[in-house]
Amino acid sequence: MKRKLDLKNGIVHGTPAYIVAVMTLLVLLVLSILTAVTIGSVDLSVSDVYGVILYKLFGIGDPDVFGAGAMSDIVWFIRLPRIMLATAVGMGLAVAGVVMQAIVKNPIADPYILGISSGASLGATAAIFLGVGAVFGSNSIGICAFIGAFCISLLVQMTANIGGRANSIRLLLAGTALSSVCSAFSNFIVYIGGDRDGIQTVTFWLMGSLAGAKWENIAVILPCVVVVTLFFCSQYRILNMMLLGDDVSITLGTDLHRYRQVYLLVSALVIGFAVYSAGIIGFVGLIIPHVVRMFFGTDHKKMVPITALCGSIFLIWADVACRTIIPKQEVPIGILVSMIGAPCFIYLLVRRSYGFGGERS
Amino acid sequence: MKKLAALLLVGAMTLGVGIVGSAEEAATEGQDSHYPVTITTYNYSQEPVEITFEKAPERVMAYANSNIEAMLKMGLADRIVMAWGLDGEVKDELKDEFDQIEYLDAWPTKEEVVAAEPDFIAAWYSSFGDDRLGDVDFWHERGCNTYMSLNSAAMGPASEFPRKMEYEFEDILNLGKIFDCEDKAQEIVDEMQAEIAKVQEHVKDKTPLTVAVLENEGDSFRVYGTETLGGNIPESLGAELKLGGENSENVGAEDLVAADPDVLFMVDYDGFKTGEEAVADITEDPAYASLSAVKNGKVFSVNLSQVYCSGIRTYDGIMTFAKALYPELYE
Repeated sequence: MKRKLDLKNGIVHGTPAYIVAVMTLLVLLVLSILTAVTIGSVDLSVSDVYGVILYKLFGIGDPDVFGAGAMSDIVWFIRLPRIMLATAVGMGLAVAGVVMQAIVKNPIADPYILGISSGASLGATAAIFLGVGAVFGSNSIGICAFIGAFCISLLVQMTANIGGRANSIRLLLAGTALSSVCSAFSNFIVYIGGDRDGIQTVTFWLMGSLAGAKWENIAVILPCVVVVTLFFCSQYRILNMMLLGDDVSITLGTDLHRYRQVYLLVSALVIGFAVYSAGIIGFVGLIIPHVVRMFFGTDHKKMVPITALCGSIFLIWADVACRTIIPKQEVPIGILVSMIGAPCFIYLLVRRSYGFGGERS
Repeated sequence: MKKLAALLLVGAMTLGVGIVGSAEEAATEGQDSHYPVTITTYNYSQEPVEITFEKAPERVMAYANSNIEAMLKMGLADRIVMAWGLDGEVKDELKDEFDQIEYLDAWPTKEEVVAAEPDFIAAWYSSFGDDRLGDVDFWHERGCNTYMSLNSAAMGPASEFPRKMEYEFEDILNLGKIFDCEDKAQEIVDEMQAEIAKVQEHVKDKTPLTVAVLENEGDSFRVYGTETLGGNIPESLGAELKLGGENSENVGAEDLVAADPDVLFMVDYDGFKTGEEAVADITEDPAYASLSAVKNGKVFSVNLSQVYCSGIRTYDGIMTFAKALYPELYE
């Protein structure tokens, strides 16, 4: 009789199961990228697609065929940037989700919980309707969103620290309050602005999209996300401790306050980048960490790397789906992710017993 | 006497040189010397960009009535490789030409446009957003020129760059330059300008009629004010905007009743309301029974395509307003 594999603590051929999982996921990620790039509204043969990639990366192949022209542009400047952006944003959001859930010690936390998404929306709305940030040129919406997101996360920390040290409850409350303020102001601007094109732009932007992917942006975002992910991989002990709460940590000799602030800033940076390049894509940062926890347990040593890779793979395929699910039309990725992701999550929730931070439910 | 002869001689010679000179110009213009042509267009940041055409574009992606219909009217159907974005049906007079072109059933993806390898894209400002074709430099780098209809927010928001009929004329003339068919473009514009001149002559010494151009948004009315094309056309035809004279903020039912314009225009468009429905919203609502426009039967509909990036339909827009305002001119 075959024994069921224990993903949480099992050993496969002398290697811990989670290491095997990370390796498998890395291979899956590369395969996903290579498969996704062959899918698109224009019919290109698989060998042509790889021809272009080989030529662009290693200079192998005929420059006249693969170096320039419509085929080369489609693969290298339209499809691949989107996929790489999906990789970066998916990884960033998933890791930020794990960290936020640990920081506020609350399973319903997601990357946007501490007002970051509302701050970003306010920045974007101000850029679209009031022309704020016009000096940034065509990137003004994204840059204003980034500034909005970052400012709000700073404000949340400051507010939570007034009249006492910030703990997870104070952070959550400050986040929720500032988030309402920001949404109210963005709604006010939209209502007063009443500009048809503007409303369309805001809606498009708020529903999230990877269509704006450009190599220049990816060159900044992808390395940044990878570095932050590696950083959090190294912080698993503190993250684990956060789930135990301040009292236990103090007893164990660690003051979580300082760590919380640093982690918040680092995540705000990643979330800001994600918002800047892809708008607001909900759900990934909430659900992927939970799904990973169901299979691999709550130890952040395993969770952070696995969640990062799952986030990337998930978003790559979500983007493929939103480009192809309705012919001739692109479904905003934020909508699609929730439409497909939520029922899957509910299914998993019903099927498996699940715990967060020690207690089982 | 001698002096006079000398003067005459000099005069004749100058004239002769002039004639020869202009004849030479005409001769070279008839050849390929029309090109290169340089046109100013805009990018997605609404900054001016100069584009140069070495020859007439042959593979064109055309978006929206303004570009598609202007090109068809100038006999350029064979240059269009993909078209999309008509608001309603193409104009009846252009049905035959329209049948020749590849008209899509939805926005093409950026991939599909790249694959069609256009050498010119004539579209709107919104077409060059990240969700559609992406900014113009991507296309310029690939040897594909672009043109943005001026009234589609190419230069900036309406509050800073009011939409005007002149920009519609400029669009048509620019397309004429790009495709080396300036005569046809000029003809289209002349027809519109002649109509405007005729109306302006007619209203010269009359007290201006007051008008309002509105779109029923349910809870309030969108106002086509002075900085919109829908306000600019009646203003150019000698009418005075009773609502939206300074800006285009939405107004409520009370504002409309208080303003009480002589003539009221209600905007309709495909997929929203028909012209009859738009008019009925006002004429059949007892709240507006006191309006003089309602009492005098002066509530008319105007189709959005005639007052928003209207292209050659600017003519229809002019006629809609002129006939409604001054029926005596068209009896």
